[in-house]
Amino acid sequence: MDESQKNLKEKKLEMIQMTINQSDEHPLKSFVHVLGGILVFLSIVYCSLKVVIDASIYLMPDSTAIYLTKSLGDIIIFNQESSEKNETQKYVQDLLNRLKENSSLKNVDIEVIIRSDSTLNALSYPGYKIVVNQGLLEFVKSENELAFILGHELGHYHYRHLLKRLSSSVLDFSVAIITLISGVDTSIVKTLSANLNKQFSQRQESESDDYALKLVDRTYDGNSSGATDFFEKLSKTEGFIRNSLNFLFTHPLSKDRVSHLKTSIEDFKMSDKGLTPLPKNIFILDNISKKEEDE
Amino acid sequence: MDLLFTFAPVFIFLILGYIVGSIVEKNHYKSIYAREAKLIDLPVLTIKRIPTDKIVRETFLVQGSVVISLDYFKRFLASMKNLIGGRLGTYESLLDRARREAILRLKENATGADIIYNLKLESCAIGKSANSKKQIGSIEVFAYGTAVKYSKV
Repeated sequence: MDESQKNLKEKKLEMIQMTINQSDEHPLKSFVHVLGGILVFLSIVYCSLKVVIDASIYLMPDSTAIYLTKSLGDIIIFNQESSEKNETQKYVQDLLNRLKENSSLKNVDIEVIIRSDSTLNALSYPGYKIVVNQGLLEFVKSENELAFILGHELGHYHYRHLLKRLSSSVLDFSVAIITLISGVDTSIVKTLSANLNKQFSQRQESESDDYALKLVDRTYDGNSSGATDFFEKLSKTEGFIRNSLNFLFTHPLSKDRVSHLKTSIEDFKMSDKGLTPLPKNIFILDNISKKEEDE
Repeated sequence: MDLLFTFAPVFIFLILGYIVGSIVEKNHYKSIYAREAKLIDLPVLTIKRIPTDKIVRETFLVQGSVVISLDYFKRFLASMKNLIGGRLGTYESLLDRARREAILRLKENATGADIIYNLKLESCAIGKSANSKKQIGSIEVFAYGTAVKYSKV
């Protein structure tokens, strides 16, 4: 082997170690750059969209908000048939109408629907339809307690929470579109926004609680008694998991809601003038189920 | 707290992917360097026609193939890069390793050959996400060529 061949071989050996086909940027460095950039960009877009949409919902006149909530009820498929106009429904509807008279929703028609469902729940739907579960009606012990729950649902309408919630689902939708177009795994962004929405939701619930408290106080001529009863009872049913994983839930802890309401009652110097009883035998499930059987 | 709860799995996979992926890649390159140095005297060419200046005793097909997968970190980084564009450094090293490994296996198959002509490389994505535009899960690189033995005069 002569000198030139030897040199050639050495050169070849040297070339093995060269990494011509690779970028020399450290992967961690580019990771920080790319992820940071994308997160900053996404959060700017998300926040500005959120601010614009929320501001427009906040600033729109009452008539527009009412119109939007009503028409949403027509768009969104609503599978709750109007319930039978029996005594129970009439009673709850009357109670709601009385509350409504003292609120900003005086001129809006709000329908109460009783659902034969044993879970403790009441929901406000777009289209001004409040669904109250039978189970909740059996759980409450006084009219004031029920009035507070209805007032809470009215609070959701008053603060336009349905529209705000819709706005965040619009934002989620746009995030999903970005996912489809870019192919980036945005499950993280989605989880993040879902969590944020839960925090928003918890805030909305306390907002509605405050509204309901004031509304009940006004309707019953300065009598706020019964406002905390429901959540006091409910808090006894909430176990360890519910307590420790509160951030995963859309509603605040009943315990916290009670203490929040109690501070509000003290702040506003509301008085306790006793409870109004419920009409007898009106919420017994047998009444309704018997009728259903007859049909 | 809730953020930590949500992102902990992702972080763990990212860190695990980065550490293990780096070690695997480093070791692979180490082995590639050593074997390339060992096989440096066997030339591999891309020319199609075998030159006629020497007497050919035997020709045969040689081939080598390899499948390499991405780690979580690299896939994550690449999917982020897909959004903004630019060089995908993590894929570059993946493909570089796969190509060199395939050629090395081809060379190791060619025992007794003096030279390999007409080298060709094929690569394809395999795995669950292979046919979707979104991601490359793992890649196969296949190298094949014609090994030639000259008759010793």
